[in-house]
Amino acid sequence: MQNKIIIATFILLSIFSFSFLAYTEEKNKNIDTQNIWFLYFNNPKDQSLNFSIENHTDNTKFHWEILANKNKIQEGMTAIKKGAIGKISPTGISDIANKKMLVRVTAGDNSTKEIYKNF
Amino acid sequence: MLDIIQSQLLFYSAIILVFFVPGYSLLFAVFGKKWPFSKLEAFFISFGSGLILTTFIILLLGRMTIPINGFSVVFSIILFTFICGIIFFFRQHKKILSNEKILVFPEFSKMQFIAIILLLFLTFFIKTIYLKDTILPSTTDLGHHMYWAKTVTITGKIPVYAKNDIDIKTNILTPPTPIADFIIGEHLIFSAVNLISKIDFISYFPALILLLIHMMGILTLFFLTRLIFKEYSQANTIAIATLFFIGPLYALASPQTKFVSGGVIGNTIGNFFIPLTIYFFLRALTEKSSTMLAFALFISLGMVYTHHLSTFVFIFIFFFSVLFFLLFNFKEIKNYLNDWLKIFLKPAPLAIVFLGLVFVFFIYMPTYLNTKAIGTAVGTPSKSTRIGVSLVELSNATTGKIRMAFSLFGLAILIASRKRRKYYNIFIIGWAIAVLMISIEPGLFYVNIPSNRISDYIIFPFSILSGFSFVYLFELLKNSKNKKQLLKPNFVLITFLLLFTFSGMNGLHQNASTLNTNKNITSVLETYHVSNFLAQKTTINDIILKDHNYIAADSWIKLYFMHGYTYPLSRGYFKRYDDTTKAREQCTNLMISVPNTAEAKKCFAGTKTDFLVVNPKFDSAQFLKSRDFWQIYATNDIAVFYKNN
Repeated sequence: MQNKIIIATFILLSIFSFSFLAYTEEKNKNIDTQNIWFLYFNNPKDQSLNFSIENHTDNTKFHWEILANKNKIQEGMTAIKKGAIGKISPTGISDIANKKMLVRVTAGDNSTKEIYKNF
Repeated sequence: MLDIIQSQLLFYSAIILVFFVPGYSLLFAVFGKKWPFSKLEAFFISFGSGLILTTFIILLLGRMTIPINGFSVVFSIILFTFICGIIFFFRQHKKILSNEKILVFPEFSKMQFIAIILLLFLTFFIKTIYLKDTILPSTTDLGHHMYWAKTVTITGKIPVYAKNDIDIKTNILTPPTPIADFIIGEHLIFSAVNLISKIDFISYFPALILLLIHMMGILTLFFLTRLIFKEYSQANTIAIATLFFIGPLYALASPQTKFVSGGVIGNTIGNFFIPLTIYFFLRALTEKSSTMLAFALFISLGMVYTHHLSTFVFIFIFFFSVLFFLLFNFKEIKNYLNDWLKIFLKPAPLAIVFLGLVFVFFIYMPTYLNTKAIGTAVGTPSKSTRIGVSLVELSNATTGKIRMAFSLFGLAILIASRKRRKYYNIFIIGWAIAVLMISIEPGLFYVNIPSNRISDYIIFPFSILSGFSFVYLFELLKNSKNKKQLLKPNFVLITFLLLFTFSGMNGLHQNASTLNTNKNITSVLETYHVSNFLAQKTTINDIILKDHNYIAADSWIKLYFMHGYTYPLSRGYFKRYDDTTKAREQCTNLMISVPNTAEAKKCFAGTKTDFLVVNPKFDSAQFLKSRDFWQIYATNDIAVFYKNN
């Protein structure tokens, strides 16, 4: 009988422990709880300047600007809900030869990220 | 929430099918209805046997070129169970009964029973709290191992352990060459659980499997202690004291929960198999049972397929035990040798030896059984990390001071005792001294393995010895009144409480110092995110180089691509590039650290690396300077640069 109770205790404790850890891992994996955002080019290998802002923060407003050799040539505001991806396709940019084209995005909390391509 | 419940149910079903069903089936086939084990023994024995059987079943599938998938794994486990059922009914029909008898131990008292339950609770509690912060897969070793486990599920075949290197002269990636670092038994159970449950490898499940194996090891040690001190009136108390020293105290440091979260699979399984093998050897020798010997050999065979270092350490334990037995029983050795031969030369153990040889030579030979791997493990210690650890280092880093003091005292008592000649004592003496000697003086035994890896094995025998000496010391003080009133009962009580508190403080202090306060969840999630991004945006022709020094969970990136063990390429720890013992490729370091130099440019040309994944806080200025690189991805701790020509 004692052996049975020890086994039962071991199994119950295992289940409690495993369930708790599985739940914790699922919770931790939810990127929306981590207050981060990402900036990346949609087509990393070609000359396109289309980019995405992936928002996992409570800020929903993002200001973006495009600079050609440090000169601002375009800017805009975009609203992106938490957990959503905002895709931005700049238009009318033609003279990019021999220039460093930089995308700078500033979130509502003033955090800034930059990506660029050199032509 | 429903998803978690569903995945948990699938996870438990997979555990039952992979570990317990084959194990219990084997026990029914071998022993019929009347088992020589208590329910507790059957519980951990079936788990260990199941682990080995599932590995062997999948190896057989691979050998027969049957695709390894969910259906074939479930079907073959059911088929194995069915065959065991036929053997079971045949035995019943022919009334073939097992000769082995169940071991009878005194029942636990009410207080002892409560203590066991409480210790189990504390053990689970402390380990769970520690794992809470590390359960999100991020550790390097576990990432490497899960790559191979996932390879099995994707290819449906037994993996060929090989990797591409960068040729030192040409800087070109070489074709895959075999590696001996991995052992098949470390991976197939994870593949099986994934195939049955469909739970992703990048999840909680690998760590939970390891936690279960680790806890089974502790349960086995608890029972083994009871067996070792069977002839002592305080066997139950010694087992509980051992549980105290291995369970809640020193619960987190290596090789315990830290190895679980770190994904040190082989050691964790080895620390379960070593006590289990010793348990069967003890029963085989004390009961003169060839069936128990067959089980001992079967578990040893499982160890061979799971972890080379554990096998290596066990061989030392075995020979040290034999050596001490010969030393203590020199006059009667002829009789004992006859006994051993009689036990060994029976169908069951010989069948296991035969099957083992067939498996090794015709089904699957473990990768490390080649001259290169043996050559690197045996020889004069080649590095400063392999020349042994001192007793002080051992007590500070591994055993804890109190446990070291108690166990050395216990070891001295056992060696001095009249009972030292008995099998029970021989194994614990041999176990402790073997690991102690190869930890502190590896050169004496021609062992060329990192000494801290070996010394981790000392925890288990030293916990048993600590439990023994703790109880022995208390008994010595308590019983003194029967002979000579050395100490007053109150003083005995105070001494006991002091020892108990001091041990508890030391063990819990080590737990506290091991607790991980650095929660890097965000960094890990960033790594998962960039891996997904690159997996979508790149093709197999793109070569990615990532940094191991400053990126969290980087070894898990390869699971998003499955293009090879060394894909993406990795800048390793900086000290690896200054290895004085052999020439190392430098490209992976140069391409990140100094990408604009002529040497690095040769490396880019040779390896065709075009994507670099780094931590911008440490490695971005060198890329910003050059027009050759575009930064195409940005987040807090990760930046991706693309080499555009």
